Parts: sequence; structure tokens; C-alpha cells
Amino acid sequence: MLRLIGERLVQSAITVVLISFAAYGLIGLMPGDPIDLAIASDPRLSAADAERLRALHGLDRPLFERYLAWAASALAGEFGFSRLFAAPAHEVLGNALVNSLALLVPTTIASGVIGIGLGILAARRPRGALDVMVNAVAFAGLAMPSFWLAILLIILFAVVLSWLPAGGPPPEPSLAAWLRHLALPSVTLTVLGLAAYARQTRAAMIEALGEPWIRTARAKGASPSRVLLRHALPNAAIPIVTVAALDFATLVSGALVVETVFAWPGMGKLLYDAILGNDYNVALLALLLAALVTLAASLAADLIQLALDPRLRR
Amino acid sequence: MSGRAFSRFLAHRAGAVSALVLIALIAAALAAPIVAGMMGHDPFGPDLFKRFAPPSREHPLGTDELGRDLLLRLLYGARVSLAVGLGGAVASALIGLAVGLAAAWWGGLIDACLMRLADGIVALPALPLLIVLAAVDPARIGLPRGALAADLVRIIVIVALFGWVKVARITRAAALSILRMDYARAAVALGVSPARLLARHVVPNLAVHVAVASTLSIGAVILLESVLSFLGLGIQPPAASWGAMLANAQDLVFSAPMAAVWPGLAIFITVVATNFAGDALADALDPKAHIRRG
Repeated sequence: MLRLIGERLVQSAITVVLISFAAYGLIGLMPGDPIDLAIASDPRLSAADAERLRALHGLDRPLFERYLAWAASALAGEFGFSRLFAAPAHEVLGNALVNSLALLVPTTIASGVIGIGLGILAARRPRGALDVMVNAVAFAGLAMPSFWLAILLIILFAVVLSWLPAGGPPPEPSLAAWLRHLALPSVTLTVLGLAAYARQTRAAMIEALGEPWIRTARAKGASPSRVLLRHALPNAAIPIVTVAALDFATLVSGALVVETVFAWPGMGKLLYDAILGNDYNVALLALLLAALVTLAASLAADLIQLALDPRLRR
Repeated sequence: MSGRAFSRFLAHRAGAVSALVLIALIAAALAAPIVAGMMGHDPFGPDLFKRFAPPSREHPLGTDELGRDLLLRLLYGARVSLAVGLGGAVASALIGLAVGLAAAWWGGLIDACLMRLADGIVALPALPLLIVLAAVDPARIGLPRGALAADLVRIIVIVALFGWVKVARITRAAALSILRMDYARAAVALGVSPARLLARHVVPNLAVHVAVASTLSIGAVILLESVLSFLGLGIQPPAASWGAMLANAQDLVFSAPMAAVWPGLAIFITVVATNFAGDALADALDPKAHIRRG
């Protein structure tokens, strides 16, 4: 058990190093480095000045050397300055993370509870009316582009009904403003998220309900709800936990599209703005954080599986 | 497809309808230039006197913010989505097939490395990395910039870099079991070369699984292309793409809300249709899998 965790941690550390190097190299390939931008903003800058600036900031050195310099300062907790927000990169990231969590934690809980609930209800009678409906919702949720659902909700609730704001951060830090501005992005993410939960739960529950020990439980006289919740659900929980962990991890960066549509200042939007705005320090840090969360979530999923399934522990 | 398989395909009613929808869509996409000629509009040139025209006989779906016909742009967008969907799925399948075969054939260290690589790719935060990849300036790695064909290839390559894992896993598992079969061992005993063994005995027997998985992945690829184009990193204007049309429409939801409905509906229908068609293909080609799935 401990060995497994140790192995996974070593693997994850190697992955993080590889990702940081790949990201560093790729970001260098994006159009416009800081000196290009300086030249664009100041026409008096001569070619010789540009060369000198490049040398001053070490941009003329080979990629690997520059990466090592960045990695050394990153390990010392020095992540550099954000060009777009004129603040230390880690502060910018911290604020965005708080905003993201305010959106993602309720959303993940809601889509998990609703999705798993629907999946259980659907599995009770496969091919029944409810099952067909849940299946249709799940199928639609998985095929719908997130930004389209977001735009449709904006059209309905912000344009036609004008009940809710079309997006943006709350203008004042009151709870009501936060809730109003979080409403549409949360609904979008919940609807899309619950599709995966419902599908996975339904499949796992139908499989579990087909097992012989379910028949035994029924023969003993266990009530239908007890069979469903005490006998079938724990066995179906293993794949569901995996979905949940990976879902949350992808959301931390994957809510990018929805956050961008609603101009919600979370991690995803920050990452997108930083990449497009050549904010190297923030983009790198955000990418690394996204990778760390993903790896941690998949480790957590494995550990929860071990806890849930005694057969895996042997 | 044999006659029996074909009738199994048709028995999946949603799949059969979806196949018809897809065929119609492909035909419409191919016919886009003809339709443009018949209607007499230029789908790429602005006509500022006709901005936001409501649906009319001349413009069945109206016009966008530059006065371009929405229906025509939808048709041209279909070309992009379908080309990327098919191209991305095929490229992923080819890479996956090669990796899976290599892992199954050589085994040992090569197998371990390739499969750890696959695990690693699955564990990556895909969307941010895709965006970084899509934001890379093609001119810096010596590629042409701006042409539609170059954009298409770029997106297909990006999709394939992340998309090959599933096919690789399927191929590896199937190839390992096929290589243990009597006919494969007989072929080895007869002195068949490895290349011929893989090409004649292994690949044809696992092609079905790869075809089903690839068809089911087309929808995801189309969604991915639309996301990249929506974020401004996919197909570049003035070329039409459903994702890019939605990005334009979002800026205009207050003045022209309907412009945001059609491209999204087009993506939705296409993705649903490819998913159903993939399901039906699975029923048709691999009936045992369906029984196992219950």
C-alpha cells in the first residue's frame, strides 16, 4: 500500500518535471516574446537595443539553460511576475483558484448527487420510461458543446428574460451578487457534468444488479431500496469514484471554456488569457497547477478504490 | 460489411437514421460551393449593407455581423468539422494501431514504455495543453501560416497527439490475444515474416474493434475542434467553422440571438449522429460485445 503510493508519487513527480519542460518549450514557440512586444510598443527601440535586452534577460541562451534557471527559481518559490496583471504570478493564481473553487465545488457536488441519483433510478428498471429519459439527457449532455449550452442559457436568462447577468465577476462582494453571477455558469457545468455521472452510474448499477448476490439479497427478503442502496450501490461505486475524481480534475482547468464564455475570473479563464496574452509566468504556473491537480486526483481515485474494494488490497 | 452485419446495423434504428443524417450532411458539405453558386452569395466576402438580415427567401437563415449568408457559412463549416472529425479519428487510429502493434509484438521494455506513455497522456490536463499546442506559432517551427489546409492539418495533428491512446490500448490487447491463437502460431511455424504475420493475420482480425472505437471518437474530435475554433485557436477567419461562428455569435447575443443557435445545433446533431452511428456499427460488426454489454 505505502509502496504503491510511493511509486505513484515518484511517477507523478517525473510527469510534473516533463510537463513543465514541455510547457516551457511550447510557450517559447508561441508568437511574440517579451522583447517583440517591447519593440512593438516602442518604435525608438533599435535592433541593437533589442539584442542587448535579449542578452540582459537571458533570452539568447539555449532553451534548456533557460528552463533550468526557471526551474531553480520556481523551486525556491519564486514564480516571477505576471505581465498582464502586474502582480506576482502566484498571487494572481491564488485569486483565480479561489474563484474557480467557488464555482467548481458546488457544481461538482450538485452534478454528482443529481447524476448518481438519476443513474440509480434509471437502473432500477432498464428500458423503462425513466431510463429512456435519463439516457436521452445523458446522451445530449455528452454531445452538447459546453459553450453552446452556455450561450443558450445566456440568451434565455440574460437576453430574453433578463433575470440574471450574462457574465463577469460580481461587481460588489455581497453574497447575493456572487450567487447571481455564479448561477448560469454553475447550471451549465452541472448539466454537462451530470451526464457523465448518470451514464456511468446507470451502467455500473445495471451490472451490479445482475449479480447472483443481488438475487440472494432479494430472496432473503431485503426491501428493494435496501437492495439498491446497500447491496448494489457500494459495488457500483468504484467506477463512479474514478469518474468523480477525474471529472473534478479536468474541471479545474477544463471549466476553461465555460469560464471564458461567462467571463468568470477562475483558473481556466486565467490560463487562457495568460496563454494568449504571452503571460509566460502565469501560464506556466497555471499549467503546472492543473497537472498537479490532475495527478493528485487520479492518485486519490486509486486510493479510494483501494479503500472501497478489499479485493484490490491483496 | 456482410449482409447479416448490415441488417444488424439497420436494426439499430437510431443508428440507421443517424447514418442517413451523416450522409446528407456530407453531401451538403461537398455541395457547398454549388449551393453558393446557385444562391449567388459569397460566403466569405462581407456585405455591410445586409448585416443581421432576418431570414428571407434570399437568406434562409439570415446573415451575420458582416452580412454573410449564415446557411452558406454553416455548409462551409460542415466541411471543416467533418474533415477534422474524420481526419483526426483516422490519424489517431493509425498512430494507435502502430503503437499497439509495436507494444504487443516486442513486449518487454518497449511495451512498458509505450503503455506508461499512454497512461501519462491520459493523466494530463488535456485542454490547457491543447490550447498551448494550438497557440504555437506555426511559422516558428517552419510551417506555413494561415492557409485553411495548414490549419486543418495542424488541428488534426494536435487531436491525434492526444487521441491515439484508446486505439493503442485496444490494439495491444487484441493483438496479444490474437498472437496466442493457433492460426497465428501456425503462421509463425510456417516461417511467415513478422510484417506479413501482423498485416495478414493480426490487423484484419482486430480491425473491427479499431473501426468501432474510431467511429465513436469522431464526435469527441468534432467537439474538440469546435472548442479550439471557439477560443480562436482553430480554423482562422475568414474560413467558416461552427465553433468560430459561435464565438462571433456570442459577442452579438443581444442583437442577433438566433445566430448563436444554428451552429451549435449543427455541432450537436453531428455529434449525436456519429455517436449513434458508432453504437450501431458496434452492434453490426461486434455483436458479441453488445451481448456482453447487456
